[in-house]
Amino acid sequence: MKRIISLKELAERTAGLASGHRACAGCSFPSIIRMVLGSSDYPVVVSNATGCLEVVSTIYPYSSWPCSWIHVAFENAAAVISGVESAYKALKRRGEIPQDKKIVFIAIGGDGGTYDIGLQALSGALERGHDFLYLLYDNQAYMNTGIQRSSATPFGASTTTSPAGKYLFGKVQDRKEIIEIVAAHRIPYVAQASISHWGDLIKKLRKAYEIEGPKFLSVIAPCVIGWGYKESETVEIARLAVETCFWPLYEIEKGVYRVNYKPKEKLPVKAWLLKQERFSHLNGREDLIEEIQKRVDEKWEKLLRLDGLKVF
Amino acid sequence: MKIKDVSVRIAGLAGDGSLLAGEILAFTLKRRGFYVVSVKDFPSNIRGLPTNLTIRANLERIYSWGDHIDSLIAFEPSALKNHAGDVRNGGLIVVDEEFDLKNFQPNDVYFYSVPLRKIARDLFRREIFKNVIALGFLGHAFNIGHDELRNTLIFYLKGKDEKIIEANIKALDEGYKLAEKFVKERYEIERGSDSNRYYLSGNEAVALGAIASGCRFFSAYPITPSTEVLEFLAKYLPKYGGVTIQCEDEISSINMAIGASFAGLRAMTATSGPGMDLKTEALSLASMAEIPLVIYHAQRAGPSTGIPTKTSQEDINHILFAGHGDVSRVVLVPSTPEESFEFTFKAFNIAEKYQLPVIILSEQAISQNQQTIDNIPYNENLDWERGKILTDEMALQYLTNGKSYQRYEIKDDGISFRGFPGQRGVIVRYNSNEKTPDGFIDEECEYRDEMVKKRIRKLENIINDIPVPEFYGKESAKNILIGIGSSLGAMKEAVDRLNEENYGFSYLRIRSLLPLHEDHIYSLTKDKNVFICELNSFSQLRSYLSRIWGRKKNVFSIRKYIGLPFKPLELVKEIKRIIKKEI
Repeated sequence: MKRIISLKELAERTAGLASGHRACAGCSFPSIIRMVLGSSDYPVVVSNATGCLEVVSTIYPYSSWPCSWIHVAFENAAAVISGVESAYKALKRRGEIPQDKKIVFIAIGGDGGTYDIGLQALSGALERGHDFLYLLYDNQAYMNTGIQRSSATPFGASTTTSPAGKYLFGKVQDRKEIIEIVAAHRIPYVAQASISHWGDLIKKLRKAYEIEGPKFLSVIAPCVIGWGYKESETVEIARLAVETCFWPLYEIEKGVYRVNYKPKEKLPVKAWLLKQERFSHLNGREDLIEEIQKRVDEKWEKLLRLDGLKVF
Repeated sequence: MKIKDVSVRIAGLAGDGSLLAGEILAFTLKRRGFYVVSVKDFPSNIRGLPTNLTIRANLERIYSWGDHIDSLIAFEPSALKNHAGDVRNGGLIVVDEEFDLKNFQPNDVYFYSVPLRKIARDLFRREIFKNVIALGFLGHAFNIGHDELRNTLIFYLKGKDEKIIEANIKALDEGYKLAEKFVKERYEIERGSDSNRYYLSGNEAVALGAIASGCRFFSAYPITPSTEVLEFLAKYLPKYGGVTIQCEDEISSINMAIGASFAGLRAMTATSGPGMDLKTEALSLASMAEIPLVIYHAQRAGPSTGIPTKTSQEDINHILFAGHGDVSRVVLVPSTPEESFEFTFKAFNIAEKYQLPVIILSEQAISQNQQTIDNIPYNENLDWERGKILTDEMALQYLTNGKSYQRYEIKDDGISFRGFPGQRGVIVRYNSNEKTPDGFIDEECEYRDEMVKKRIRKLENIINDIPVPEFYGKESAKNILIGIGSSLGAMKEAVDRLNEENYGFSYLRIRSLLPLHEDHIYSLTKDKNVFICELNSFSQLRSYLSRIWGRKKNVFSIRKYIGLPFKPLELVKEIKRIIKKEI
């Protein structure tokens, strides 16, 4: 198997997310899902939690999904895919599906359905050890209901339920470290990626599809409306998140940490923050920007210390 | 002739500004002294699918969006196709000249095909400005002062970039100019007396009601169509010393409110059908452990995800019967922003007085649509009735007497004194198991019988504290229409029209489903033909009310379940059909 396929090859594959869906102009998840589906050499079954992706991709009479697909309630993507995967196992045992047939099972959720309401189901599925990939597209708030904060919303970001104003400077809490939470289940593969670094993303996907057991991939998903930037800047915003080390590209494979990308010149996080309306109130608040920079630095340095170490 | 009732629909795609243009027009008409009702019809994704806003304005208080519209602005060919049929004869339709109109035959209407997009592109390089240009066009056609619309526009754009505001004002001017060229006949819109009325949605009214009633703890999870309560209270509750918490899921949001109520605050959560599915366990607990709690539930079309942004009355069964065992609760059903406020206020008093969960059952058509109202029904005489609360002196008595505090003391009225954690002299023990009066698990079932009876006795007097059904019309009328919630406007206009044709109608609007004013409803309906209108397919309201009449024959159902509230004409037609066929 080739570890990486070119963008040209990816575009030629018919298994990607079909165009014509109703995502906003500049939305990032269609590109993510195209890579997720297009990178698989095997048949795919998807369990998709409620959210923007689900709402925009299957509106009568069209569907963008070229694969078997089930929409499930907000908190249940991991639970339902567990059921699907187990059922296939039973069908194989009964000889109704050939033993050697490889099928890829993917549960897809946004940050609301993963960090918040779906965390319990995700944890259960990881602990039981089902053979599936959990794909998190992290747009860092509840975008489909109109931009409410989630536990993935960064410190300082303004949302409708953590509004920046006279009393608050946006969200006062930090983001949960979902990668660490998932890694604590000691599953074979956990990774973080970004569409700006598509080669890395495809490599991670193709690696995940070959590993038996639970896999978790978190991809940053800039949101034009919720983050507030120009439609044409989506990939740039994702890239800046990586270059400022707000969103490091790394993986934990069989317990070994590996930082996949170290920026030659680490940009100040300000360069990423002030391109987005959700942080625009921080302009001039050097104290807060410093605080954010400090948090980013701490996490990045911790990661560099872990780089190459086997932790389980 | 001056027009006293006008309705406009602005239709396009989600995210293209149709809703904003409609809101600006609605607010301008409100300022002109009109009562305005708005009905938003929008999809559950943020951009790109058909959306529209209908506003109806009348010099008298109205509750319904009417049957037809006077004018339509269609930004998309699909919008024209879907809505042109609703425009009354002599009405007005504005479309973009770039539409392909080959297959379109306008009725007897003023039809204007104008260069909305072209002007927007030429002057602003962005098509989005078409909505404000169209607004100006309408302003001229309706003879609304240029400054009136401009002032509202500026009001709505407050805080935006100067350049954006300037561009919008210019777009509005262009709309007026454009209309001067095209419009053949202008309407004369009347002016009303009071321009300072409130214009607010059910969700806003509930949030205000919560603040006014002393609610100081609100926890919820975002869910359409009740999210605006969370957004509103996140912004304003802290100013009143309260706390708003957005939780990680529906289950913790109701349980957090239970915790806050246990600790002594007035607490509320808000949700919709899918959220209530998850909250049901906690509803049982609140009932069993006798915890005062207010749950605001705005219905949307189900089951499951269903049609998240559209209205329904499908959760009647769910709200009345959710929970295992004999779960007690109170269910209030508002129809208007005023009632949304008033019932929220009442709900806290009932919840604390009787120490049980109270559900305010609203629906999308009320929660997210705005109406003009004269007043928010608040005055300083409204009391926060906190019910039986253990005073510090009473608590100290327990210490002096060396007795353990009886949270569930058996009382004649079934209501025990509520103590709070931290009160000196007592240990506060709540329990969702069956329990002894002091809150220990009653494994021997020694107190089961008494405890059940105590909880039943609590319910006996609630009927005196809840809103009675609204009766409209003559008692002698031989037909009666029954409905709840958003059906109010259509019921009222339908009854008036039917009476003009001597059909002999009245209506009864139920405002509390549990407890139900059974005797009252029975006496008003027993000798009449009963028509029950409801927004679900299972006739849930009818099934529930049938306990009042048993197997009474002349009860008829009128159901609608496409996600929109009733229109008066729909009720009139269906009633006439039933009368002709069955009576």
